[in-house]
Amino acid sequence: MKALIVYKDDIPDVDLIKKHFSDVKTCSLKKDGLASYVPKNDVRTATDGVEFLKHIPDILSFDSIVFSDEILPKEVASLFANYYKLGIIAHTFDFETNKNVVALVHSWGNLGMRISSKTVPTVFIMEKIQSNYDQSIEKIIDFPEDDRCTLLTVSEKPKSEIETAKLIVGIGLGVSKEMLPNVISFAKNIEAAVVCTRPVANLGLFEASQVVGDTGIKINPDVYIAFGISGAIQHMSGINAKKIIAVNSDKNAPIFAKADIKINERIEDVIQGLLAWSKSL
Amino acid sequence: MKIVVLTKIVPVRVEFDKASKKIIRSKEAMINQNDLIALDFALKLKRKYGAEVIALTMSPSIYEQIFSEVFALGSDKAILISDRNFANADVFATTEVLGNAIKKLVPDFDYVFGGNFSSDGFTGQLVGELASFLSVPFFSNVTNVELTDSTLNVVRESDDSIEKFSVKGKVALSFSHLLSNVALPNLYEIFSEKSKKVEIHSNEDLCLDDSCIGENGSKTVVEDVFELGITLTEGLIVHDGDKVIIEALKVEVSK
Repeated sequence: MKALIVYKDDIPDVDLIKKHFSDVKTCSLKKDGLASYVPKNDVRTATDGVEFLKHIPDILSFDSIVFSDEILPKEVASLFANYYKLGIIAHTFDFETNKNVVALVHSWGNLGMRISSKTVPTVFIMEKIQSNYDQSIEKIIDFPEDDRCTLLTVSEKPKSEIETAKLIVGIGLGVSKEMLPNVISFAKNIEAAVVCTRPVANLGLFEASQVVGDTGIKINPDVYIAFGISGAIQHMSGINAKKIIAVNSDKNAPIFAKADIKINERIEDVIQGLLAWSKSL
Repeated sequence: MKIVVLTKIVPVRVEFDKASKKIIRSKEAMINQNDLIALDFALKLKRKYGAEVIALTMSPSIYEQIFSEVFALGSDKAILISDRNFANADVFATTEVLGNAIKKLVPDFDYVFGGNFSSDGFTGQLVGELASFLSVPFFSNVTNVELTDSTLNVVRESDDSIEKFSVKGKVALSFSHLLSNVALPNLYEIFSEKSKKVEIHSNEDLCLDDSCIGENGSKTVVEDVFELGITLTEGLIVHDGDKVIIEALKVEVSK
C-alpha cells in the first residue's frame, strides 16, 4: 500500500508509517524541503496547498495521505479532503492495515477509537514528531497561487515565559481542590511555571494560556513534574521535556509509559515532603 | 457586510460508559466556548464597520433556547438547522448541511467565522471543509482581523511565525483558542432581543439527498471505542516518592 506524508517543518513518525505502507513518499510545503515532492514556491495558504497537491502525479493513487498536525498542513488537509470528497481522520496515532486502512485515534481523555473510511485515499492527521527526514526530490511542482490572498508580513512568534521555562509543574484532574494550593505553593517555591490540562482549565481554575497540548501551548522544559495527570495524548502532545516526573495514584495511567520517574502514590502522600523541602530553598 | 458565525451547541460533559462502551454526552449543553471568540471578532467588525452577524448551528431543536443566547451576545440573526436525518454526521456530512444552508439562506455572505475546534470533538476540520465547499480561502488559528477598504487583513499564528495576509473577497476563518476575548451578553442586546426569534430550518427547506447527509453522507465510520491504559510491571515507585522527586530536582533547582 502507498502513503504520502505532507508536512511543513516537522514530520510524523515515518518508521511507524513504513511498518504499514510499503511505498512511502513525502511532500514538503516548503520549497527548500528535501522530500519526494516540493513546491516551486513556498506554500503560504491552504488553497495554495491544495493546488500544489492537485499537481502531484496520481495523487489519488495513494491509499493514505498523512498530514502532520502543524497549522498549515492541517489547513490544507481539510480543504484537500473536502475537494476530493475524502474521509478525514484527525488525531491518528497508529494504523491497522489489512484490506483497508483503519486508524487508531486518540479521543477524549484516555479513550481510543478505531475509525475506518469509506474512501480511498483517506486523509489522516498525525502528531508531528521529528524535524529531520530527507528524501531525494523526485519532482519540483509549480502551481497557480491564490491571488485572493497576499502575504503582507511574516514575523517571528514570540514565546511566553511558560513556553521557555526550564522547570514546569503540570496540574491534572487528579489534583483535588484541597491539594491544589499546596501544589501551587510547591511550584512557586522551586520557581517552576504552572500549566494544566484542558479539563482543568475548563473548570475555570486556570487561563487558556496555561493549557498545554493539542488545544493549548507547546512546552520544552528540562523537567516536567506532572501531578494527577493521566497522560492523555491531547496533553502529552504539547510536551517536549528532557525528563518527566509523574505522580499519579492510578497505576495504569498512560503517563507512566512516558515518564522517566513514575511515582504511583497519592498527591497527599508526596506533597508535604516536597513543600517542606522547597520552603528551605 | 454579512458574517456567518458557526456556533456549535456542545454537551457540558462527555463521559465514557465502560459497560456499554459508549460515549455519553450530557443533555445539559452550552455554546462552544471557542465559537464565542469568533463571535466576538464578528461583533467587533459589526461595531466598527457595520455588519449583519448571523449565528448558524446544526443541532437538535431542543437546544433552541440555548442557541437563542446568541441574541443577548449581539447576533442579528440565528439560524438553527435541525433534522433527525442529519444525525450521526461526520465532518464531511456536516459540511454538506451547513454549506448548503449558507448557500441557500445567506448566499450573499462575506465571511464565515468559527472557533478552532469544538470542545466535544477537538478535530478542528469543519471550517476548512466549509471553505472548500464554498470555494473561499481559509485561515485557521487567526488572532486578529481588520477591514481596510474592501480587503480583510488577517493575522494567522503559525507554528513558529505570525503572518499577516490581505484577503480580497469572501473568506472562512477559525480563530485561535488561546485568545481570551469572548462575546459577552450586554444590556442593550438583552432588552432588544425579545423581537428576535431563532429561524429553524429542516431538510424540507434544504432538500438534500439522503445519501449526502447524516450517517449515509459521512465518509468515516467509528468502528470501536476503547480505553487506552497501560500495564507497567516495573519502574513504579510506590513509597517515598517525595524523596525520589527531591533527589531528581536538586540539580535542576540549583541551576
